[in-house]
Amino acid sequence: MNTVIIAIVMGIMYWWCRGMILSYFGFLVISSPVTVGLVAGLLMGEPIQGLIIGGGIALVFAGIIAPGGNLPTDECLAATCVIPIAIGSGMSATTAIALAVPIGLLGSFVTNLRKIINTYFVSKANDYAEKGDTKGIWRCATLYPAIFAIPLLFLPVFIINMVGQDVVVNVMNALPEFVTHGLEVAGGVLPALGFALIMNMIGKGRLIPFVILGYIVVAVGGVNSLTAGIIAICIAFIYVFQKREITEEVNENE
Amino acid sequence: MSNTETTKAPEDKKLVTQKDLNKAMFRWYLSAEMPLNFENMQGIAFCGSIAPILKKIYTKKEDLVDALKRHLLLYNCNITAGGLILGTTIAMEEQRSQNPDAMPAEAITGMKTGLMGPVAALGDSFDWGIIGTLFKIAAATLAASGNPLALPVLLIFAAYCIGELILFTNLTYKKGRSSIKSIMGSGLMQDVISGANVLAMFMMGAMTASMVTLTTPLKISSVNIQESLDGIFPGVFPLAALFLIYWLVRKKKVGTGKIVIGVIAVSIIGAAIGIF
Repeated sequence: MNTVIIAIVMGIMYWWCRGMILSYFGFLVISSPVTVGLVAGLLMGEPIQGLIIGGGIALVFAGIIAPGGNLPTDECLAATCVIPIAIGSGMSATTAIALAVPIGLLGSFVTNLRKIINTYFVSKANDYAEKGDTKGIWRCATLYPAIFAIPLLFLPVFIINMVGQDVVVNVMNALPEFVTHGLEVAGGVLPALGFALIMNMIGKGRLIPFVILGYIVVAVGGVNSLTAGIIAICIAFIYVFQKREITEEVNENE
Repeated sequence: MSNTETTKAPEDKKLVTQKDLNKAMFRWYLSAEMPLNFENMQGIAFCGSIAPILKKIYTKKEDLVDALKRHLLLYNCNITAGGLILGTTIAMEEQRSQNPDAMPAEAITGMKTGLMGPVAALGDSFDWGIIGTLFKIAAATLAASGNPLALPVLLIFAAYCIGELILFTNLTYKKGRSSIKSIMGSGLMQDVISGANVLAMFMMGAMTASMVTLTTPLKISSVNIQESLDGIFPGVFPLAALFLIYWLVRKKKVGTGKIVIGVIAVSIIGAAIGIF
C-alpha cells in the first residue's frame, strides 16, 4: 500500500517538473533531487536519509543546465526513480548516485519525445488562431500538453517505483565489482561536464586563467566554497574596475 | 539608463491595464514550456499568454487572427529574462492596434526573433549558469549533510527568477521598446556581465576542485603515482578531466549525451583494468 502511494507521488512530481508546469518553479524546485529526496524520505519515515541521498545526487547534476531547453541528462527522473528504491533497500548514498547517473541519461530521450508529441498542438493552435479562438490556444498551451504528458511522464516513473526495488537490488547484486566501481568513478567525474558546459556557454577562452586560479585556491589553498566565492567576487570587482579605468584613460588620451 | 530614451508617443491611449499585464505574466510563467515542441518551441505558450490582451486591443477579427498567428511563430527564450521581450511585445502590439502604419507587424516579429537569442544568452548564462548553479550547489551541499534548509535555498532562487520576470516585463512595457536596448546595451549591464563571467569561471575551477573526484591507485614499482603527482600539483586529474571535456564540447562539438556515455564507458573500462 505504502509503495503505491510513494509511486504515485513520485510519478506526479516527475509529471509536474518535466511537464514544465509553472516553468522554473517546476524546473528548479520540484525537479531538484533535494526536494524529491525530502518528499520521498518523509513518506518513508526517513526524511534525513532522503535528504542526504538527494543532496548527493543533486551535487552530481548541479552543473547541468538546459541551454535552449536541451536537457543532456535528467536529475528528476534519476531522483524519482532511485531515491525511494535506495531508501527502501538501505542502499548507500554513493551507490545510489552511481545508479542515478545512467537513469538520468534516459531523461533526455523522454524530453525529446515530449517535444515531438507537442508538435501536434502547433497545428491545432493554428486552427484556433484562424477562428480567433483565444481560449482554444490557451488550452493547447496548458491543458492538452499536461494531459498527454500523463502516459509519457507519470506512468514510467510510477511503474519503475512499483516493480523497481526487487529488480534493482538483484541487478546491483549481479553486477561485477568493476562495473559498480566504474559507475562510482563516473559519478565523481560527471560534475566536470556541467562545469565545462557553463564555461562553453560563457564562451570567453581568455578567461580560462580564472578557472585555473579558482582550482588552485581550493585544491592547493584548501579554502572552503564560501571563502572561494568571496575571493571570486573580489577578483571580479578588481577585473571590472581595472577594465573601466583603462577604458577611461584611453578615452581621455584620445 | 538615461531618461531621454523613454519617449512615448503622446497620443497613445493605454488600453492594457496592470491587471492585464499581471495576467499575461502569470500565464507565461505557468505555461512557457508546457507545450514546448520542435516546431515553434515556446510559441504556443507565448501566443496563449498574450492572447487575452490581443483580444482586448484588436477589435476587428482579422486583426486579431493576424496577431495570434504572428505570435504562434517560433519563439524560444529564457523564461524570466524573457520578460524583457514580453513587455516590449505587449507595448508594440498596443501601439499597432491604434496605429498600424507606425508599427508594422514585421517590426514586432523582428524584435522578438532578433532579441530572443541575446536575451536567452543573458538569462541562461547569468541566471542559470552563475546564480542558479551557485544556489543549486549550496542547496545540494546542505542536503548532503542532512540539513533541511536546502529547500528554502532553492525557493530563494525561484523567487529571484519570478522577481526578474515581473521587473523586466513592467519596465519594458512602461518605458517602451527603446528600454530593452538601453538595458541590454548599458555600460553597467556590460560590467555586471563581465564581472559575473569572471566570477563564474573562477567558481568553475573552485568547484571542480571540491566536487570532481578522480584518482588512480596505479603504482609503478612501488611508487604511488597519485602521491607523486599530488606532490607536484595536488589532484591534477579532476582539472585535466574538466579541460578534456571542455575541449570536446567547445572545439569538437561533441554532444553532451555522447560525453556522458563516454565518461561512463571510460570509467568502467578503467575500473576493470585497474587504473581508477
